[in-house]
Amino acid sequence: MLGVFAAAMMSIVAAGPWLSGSSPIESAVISWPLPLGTAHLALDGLTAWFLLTIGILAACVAVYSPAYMEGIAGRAPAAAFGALMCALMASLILVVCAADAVLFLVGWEAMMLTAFFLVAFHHDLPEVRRGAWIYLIANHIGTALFVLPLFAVLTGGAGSTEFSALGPAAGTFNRSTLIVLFVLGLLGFGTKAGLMPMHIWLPAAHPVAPTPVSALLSGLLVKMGIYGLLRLLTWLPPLPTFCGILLLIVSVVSGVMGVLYALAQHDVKRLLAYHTVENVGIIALGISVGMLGQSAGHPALAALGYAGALLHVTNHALFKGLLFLSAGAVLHGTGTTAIERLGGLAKRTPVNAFMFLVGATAICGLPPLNGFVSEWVIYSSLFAGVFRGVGASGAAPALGLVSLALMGGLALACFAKVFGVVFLGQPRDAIVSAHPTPVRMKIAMGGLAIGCMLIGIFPGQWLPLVQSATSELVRSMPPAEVELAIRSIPAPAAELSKPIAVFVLVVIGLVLIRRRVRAWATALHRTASRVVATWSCAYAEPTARMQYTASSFASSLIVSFRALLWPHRELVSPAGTFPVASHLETHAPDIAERELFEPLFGGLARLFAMVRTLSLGGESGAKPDIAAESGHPGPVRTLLLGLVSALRSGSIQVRLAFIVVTLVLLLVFEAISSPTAVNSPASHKSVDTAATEVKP
Amino acid sequence: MSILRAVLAVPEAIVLLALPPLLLSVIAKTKAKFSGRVGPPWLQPYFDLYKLIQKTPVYSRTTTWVFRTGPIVNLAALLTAATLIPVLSSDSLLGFSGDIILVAYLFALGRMFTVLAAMDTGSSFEGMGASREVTFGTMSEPALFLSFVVLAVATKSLQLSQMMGSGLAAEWQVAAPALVLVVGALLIVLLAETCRVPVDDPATHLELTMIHEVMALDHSGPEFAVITYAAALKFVLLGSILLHTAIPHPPSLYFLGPMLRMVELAALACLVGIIESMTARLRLNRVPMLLAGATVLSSIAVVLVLTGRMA
Amino acid sequence: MMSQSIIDAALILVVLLNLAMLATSRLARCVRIFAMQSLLLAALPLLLELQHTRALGLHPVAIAFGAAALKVIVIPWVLLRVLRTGEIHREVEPMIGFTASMLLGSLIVIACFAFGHRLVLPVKPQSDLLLSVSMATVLNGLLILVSRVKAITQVVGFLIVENGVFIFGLLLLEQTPVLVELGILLDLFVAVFIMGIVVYHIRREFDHMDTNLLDALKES
Repeated sequence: MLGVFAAAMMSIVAAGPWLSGSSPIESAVISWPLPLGTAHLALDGLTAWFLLTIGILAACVAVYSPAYMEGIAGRAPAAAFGALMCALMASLILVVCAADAVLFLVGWEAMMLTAFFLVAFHHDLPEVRRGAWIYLIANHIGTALFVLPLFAVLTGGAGSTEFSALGPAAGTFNRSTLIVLFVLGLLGFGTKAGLMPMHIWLPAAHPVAPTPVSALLSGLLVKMGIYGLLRLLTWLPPLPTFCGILLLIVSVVSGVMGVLYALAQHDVKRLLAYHTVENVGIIALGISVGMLGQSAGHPALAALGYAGALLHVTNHALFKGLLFLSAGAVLHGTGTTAIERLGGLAKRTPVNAFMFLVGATAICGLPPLNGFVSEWVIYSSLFAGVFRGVGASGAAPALGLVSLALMGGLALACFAKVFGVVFLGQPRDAIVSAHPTPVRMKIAMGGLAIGCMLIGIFPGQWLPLVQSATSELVRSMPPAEVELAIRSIPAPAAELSKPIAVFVLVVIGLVLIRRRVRAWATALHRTASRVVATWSCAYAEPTARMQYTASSFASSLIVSFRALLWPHRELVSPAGTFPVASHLETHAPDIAERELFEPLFGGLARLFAMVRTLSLGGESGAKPDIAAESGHPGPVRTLLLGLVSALRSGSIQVRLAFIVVTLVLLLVFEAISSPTAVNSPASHKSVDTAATEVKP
Repeated sequence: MSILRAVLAVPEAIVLLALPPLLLSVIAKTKAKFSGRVGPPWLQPYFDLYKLIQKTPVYSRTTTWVFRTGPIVNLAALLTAATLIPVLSSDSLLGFSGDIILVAYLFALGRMFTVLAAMDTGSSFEGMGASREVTFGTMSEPALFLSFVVLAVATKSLQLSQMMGSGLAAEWQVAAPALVLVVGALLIVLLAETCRVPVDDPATHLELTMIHEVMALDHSGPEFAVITYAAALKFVLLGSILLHTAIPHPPSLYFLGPMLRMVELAALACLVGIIESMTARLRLNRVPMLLAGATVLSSIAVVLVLTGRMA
Repeated sequence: MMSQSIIDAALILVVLLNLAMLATSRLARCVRIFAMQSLLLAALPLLLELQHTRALGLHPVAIAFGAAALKVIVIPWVLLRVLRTGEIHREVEPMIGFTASMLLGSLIVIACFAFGHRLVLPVKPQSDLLLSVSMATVLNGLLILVSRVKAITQVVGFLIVENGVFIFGLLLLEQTPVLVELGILLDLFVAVFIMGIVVYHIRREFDHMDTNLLDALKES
């Protein structure tokens, strides 16, 4: 672990000069025998920003892990864990610093493999194996199908594998090639980043990995996907507008659906994994605004969008790392992360509760913490996009705005649920005990929490650090405007500090006033405050089982959004005069997993089983064990079956609905294919009979 | 800020802090008038607050520091928002470009800590109220943000005091239908966030039908005083946003401006009292439709404004 | 200009009444919303003519009064009479739910507003909103027609489609002869009259107005 810590410190120090504003690129060539490429490392503004992120989170995780692994002792040798963590750290730094395509891919693969071994650390448990396999397969498919061809086309066009040669070469490609490259990058790097619908490995891998590894997965590995996407954008010239709109729609879907699924989860780590999907959606939203700004030629807009995305990268690493470490402390202390079994932990592990509260407040984007600062920059960029009318004349940024607001509200609901049920109230399952958290874990969490608070309270000092990274991304635009745009990013943040300072002072002031008032009232009545059982309208014997459960808390939101979530509900109602047993279960299975990937892989498995049968000379081997969820058909299947049965029923309303839909599609097609302005009398596209009646 | 402005800010702040309970009694008197009663005295809320502060608080064994700090954070968030929202005059104390987002998220911060303080008691009623508060808060966020988008696009500014100032008066000539829709949406959001009929009934104490009152069941004494005052302050702040959008003042009114605003706030409180007397509380599963209606109103306003700029 | 604002406000009110109809479950309220909408639409030719030529010709006045008499008084009276004699007062929850159908209707409105600007017309309309509002009204009426279960609501949906066509006709106000307008109104009157009689007899015969149950009458 010392190695990891040292590497983290060195990376922060290395990133230093770039953060303070200078932007030359330093590079070094190492004489490693790499096939097809050279081992060329380089450091520029973008790399420096990601190195900072890696450094901060890895340092805290390094302090945390030894204490955690001692607590989960006896499951696997700790030396292997330390070695694998060092290897993961090295591969992360390699990916970020690589300046050669082959070196990048070597680091990418190394990162995936070391992470796989780390995720599968407790490999004696079947669900751990399953989660690790899903992680490996998903990421390898993403790499093999999309990232490799992307680099093949780019390096083929450039004739060399150096990153510096890829940029000018991409400028020579034609429009459709650029779009294809962008889509390949989106799918390939998006799988790593966790955009929908490629996100399914996140909720599978995070709950089963050891907690420090989950923190690194969410905090750093998915950011490597973002890094890849941003690198790709530095090479490509400004893309057509609809690419930005495509990314915006993908990020809106990821964000809203991610947080809705998170609301429906029963396990803390799986919930946090879905929140990572949501936050990656927010980061991609910022990137899409940056792309729209580039396509439209507005440097200020592009700079704001990219700056917001980059800030959220680091902020998310901080607060998601904090949340995972805190969840790990819960697991370490009680042995379970099932939300419905926990409760009242704030009394038994108060420091951990405070850390989780800081992380929860930060992830909801509430002031005065760091989540608000980056979301504020993204909001500013979206508003700027609406003002300038980019992206379908302002409609796309408006959609982004309303979904970001919705995501904020849903995230608040989700974390109020988690914190309220896990840490507050009374323990729901009496047999769950709680051990205190070790000091080293508290120190690690404290470091991250202090980072969150500092960034939130002093945003004016934090924002200038991102300038050199942003300037890397908007390089393809006129330099003078770019310079001005980037200098103007931190300006409003200084204004932001004033209300935040007011808020903090008011809180402190009110606490002091309350103390004085209480002292005065006590002196007045000569009785101190009393402590009794919860009143809640005069229940005589409140028990822990009467408390609101997490599923009940979230159920009204889930039912309101059932058109998007398709939750399942199994109810065994109480029956009879004195009912004895009843049973209620609610689940929200992931649509992408159920409708897209399970049929796909099930079909592939059946195909391979057929091949195996043939090649083994007619012996039918064991049926392939496809994890088939029987019973409830998902939304796609239900809609398709309903459509077919509706057609066959011959109902007039259905026929009419089809006519309407056809008409609407025709109108939309007509509207899209006539790009110019309205009401030109010379146009002949409308009714001819009316035209003959027009008297000029 | 000029010296005159800084000097005037002090009495303005004092009036602003003293005003909220008076509006509560305006609503109470209006409802009493409609039921043929006289109603409580005008200064009754102040007496109530004073009585509550003196009481000895009773805390539940299940609660932690979150229970005691929740109401304080809520009030602090609202007071900070009060420095950003123009209430009595047409500019705010600390306004800057982009402060609407800070205002919206300060309201959310207050909501988060109120909800957590409620969950801290470990009671099923408070959990129920917390769940409803969070659900309806989430559904009113899009309507609020879409209204802000309309105002921002109309006045080309992201600073709340500029968005609702004299620039808006010119917009009313041009884009009146969109702004009427925004006012309607903001009225529904006001009723939802301050927990008035038809979303919630502040007078009933039936636990199964309340949202805001049920979250404060276990708070007593000074904490309850803070919660009551904070609810009234939230009404003043959201009402000010609504009034400044609906009735922008020309800058030529100097000292009449704050007086007029106070009269307008009283009129708004009267209107809310009339709405409370004349409509029944909606069934809880119809409230999402009301909030969806507010979102629809503001989204149509956004489309009108965006296409109006194009054509 | 004031008159422009009034016309725009009237059109937006028409759109809002469509959405209110999608959200309501009471049958009598549906009919009354239709009557209010028709009143607004009857006033529109007068407003358009005032804005255009500042004087009222015979043609718009005839259209306005004809439409008002028929759609605000006669047709709602027929429909309410059918409702009054029955025991059914509420619509059944449609397949997609009331809130979802209102949201779908608002999506249709937004899409029509967004695309309405891009479609080309042979004549420049007097208000930018006319085309968008007419398309939105037609599509919302079709949505009601398609998604509701009770016969009366389907009739009202059909009437809203006709309202939408009427708005579109206002674009070509000067060109359409009075005879064509009166002919359309007469067709409408006869259609609704016949539908009202049919629904009345269905209800008397089968004690319900539920079209899903009526499907059982088919042979296939």
